[in-house]
Amino acid sequence: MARIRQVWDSRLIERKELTADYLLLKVEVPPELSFSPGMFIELSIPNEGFSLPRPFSVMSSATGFLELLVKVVGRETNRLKACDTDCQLQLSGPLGTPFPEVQGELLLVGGGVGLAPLLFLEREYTQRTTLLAGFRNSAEYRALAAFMPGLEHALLSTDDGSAGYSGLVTELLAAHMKENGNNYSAAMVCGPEPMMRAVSRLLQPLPTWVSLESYMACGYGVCMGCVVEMSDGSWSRACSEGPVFRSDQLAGYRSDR
Amino acid sequence: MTDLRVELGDMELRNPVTLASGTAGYGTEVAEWYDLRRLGGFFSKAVTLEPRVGNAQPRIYELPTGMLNSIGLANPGVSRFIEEQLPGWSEQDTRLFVNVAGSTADDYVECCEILAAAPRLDGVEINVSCPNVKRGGIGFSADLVELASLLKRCRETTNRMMIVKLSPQVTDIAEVARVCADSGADALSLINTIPGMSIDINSRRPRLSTVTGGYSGPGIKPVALAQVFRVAQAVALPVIGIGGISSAEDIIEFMLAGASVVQIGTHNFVDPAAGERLVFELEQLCDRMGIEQLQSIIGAVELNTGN
Repeated sequence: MARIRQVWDSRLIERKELTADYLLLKVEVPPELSFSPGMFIELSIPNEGFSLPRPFSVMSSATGFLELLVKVVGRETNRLKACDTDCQLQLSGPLGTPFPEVQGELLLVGGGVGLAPLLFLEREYTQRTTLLAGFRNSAEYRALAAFMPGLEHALLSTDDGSAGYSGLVTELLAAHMKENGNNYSAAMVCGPEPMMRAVSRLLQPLPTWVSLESYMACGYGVCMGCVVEMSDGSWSRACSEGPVFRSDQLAGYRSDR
Repeated sequence: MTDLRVELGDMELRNPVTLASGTAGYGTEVAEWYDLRRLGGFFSKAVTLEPRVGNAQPRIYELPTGMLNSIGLANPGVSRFIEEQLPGWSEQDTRLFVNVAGSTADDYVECCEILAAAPRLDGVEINVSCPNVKRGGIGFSADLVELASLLKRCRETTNRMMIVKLSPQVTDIAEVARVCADSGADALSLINTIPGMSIDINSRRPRLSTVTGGYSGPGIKPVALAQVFRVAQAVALPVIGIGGISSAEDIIEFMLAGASVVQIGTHNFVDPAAGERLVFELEQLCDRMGIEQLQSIIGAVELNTGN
């Protein structure tokens, strides 16, 4: 038993509205804390009423601050959208098991808010990487790429065909793998769950890690609310054993199970 | 500097702040945030005779005043608890109580017997109030004859402290408390979660896989306080207050109502350092209020209106 995590009073250093539903936040962090790609923090906006903190994946980490990509989906993220610079926040972390460091060239596949940990990984790990990224349309891509370094090199798909491949990122991936499938030693995936399941099945038997999103109460392993089913029928905590799991260990991520 | 020590029967706790069962695991995770020696005590997540995987997802739902859960007593079983979790507690200097649950009376008794032979423990908390299991749990609070029989059998297994955790979902909690007192309980802890429900009106589906679950958080505090008050008035046993505590003021309020000790539950999810923070805030509040001995305020609610 050892103290390795902290709860701290933080400040919103910068807040950018990339699109109507994407925010880029820069928040204060104690300088002694370090984060690895795939780890997350819990964030709450102090208020008189009751609210559980919300988990956000780290997009970049530097001494004294973190960057978070936030998709505005509900009450708390809408409150974040209304926060001004210098707004007081309560943060806790570091939380979760990060992406493993695997030798060889890495394939990264991401969609939407799931791009955040992949961009962190791309900067932090030294291996050669190729990123496939899915967006709704070219406007969304341009808005995010302007503030998210790394996206400019990505192979794109858009739902409406206004930039890159027209269709789902999984279709782009299928085409890409026909030509380049032998290049990669592993894949790291983050995005909507149906996409991650489809990508994992398509990439089989390439070792693939996915970063899950789960409804959480505590975020640090005590409430047992975020458990996910494993392929052996057991349950694991998305917050602690995850959020990053090897996909063949998860129930429903392989074509034969 | 206030003397924060409190007595729970013949046991002394360094302060009244403990963590509630099911909201702090077996201690390993909380110890990653702060030194457990800051706490008056710790109540483990429930253990059962056999391992339990728990209920299907979704298991939790947030509400404006708290949350619903239906975890379903997921735990590794009493034997693995003793092998894997208990050794780490040898270096943790705080009171440790293990919450015991089961489907049948035999399950509880056998679990208590196994724990009686284990080292380190300060006591057991018999959980006859979990709303999220099909059999056992809350059922034992409803049948007082069965409850008395169960507690007497558990009592025979151990000389350590035996605490009984009560549900608010009974006709008369004072009557349940008296049965516990007559059946060998050393202390009572209350309240467990209140049965609750939420429905997504668009899909028309319940928010929890089990349809209903346990409601906890600040919204249940007045209910808990009334029950603690009622039980403290009804029996001579020490009472452990639980229900929506999230501030030092809440702790004082529960102690005035008659609680000797309190458990912090859902607030551990809001703030991982809740236990340490509340001890610190309690020290400061007692200083401000001029309370010299915290023990002295237990049950000290002023009922005379002055007329």
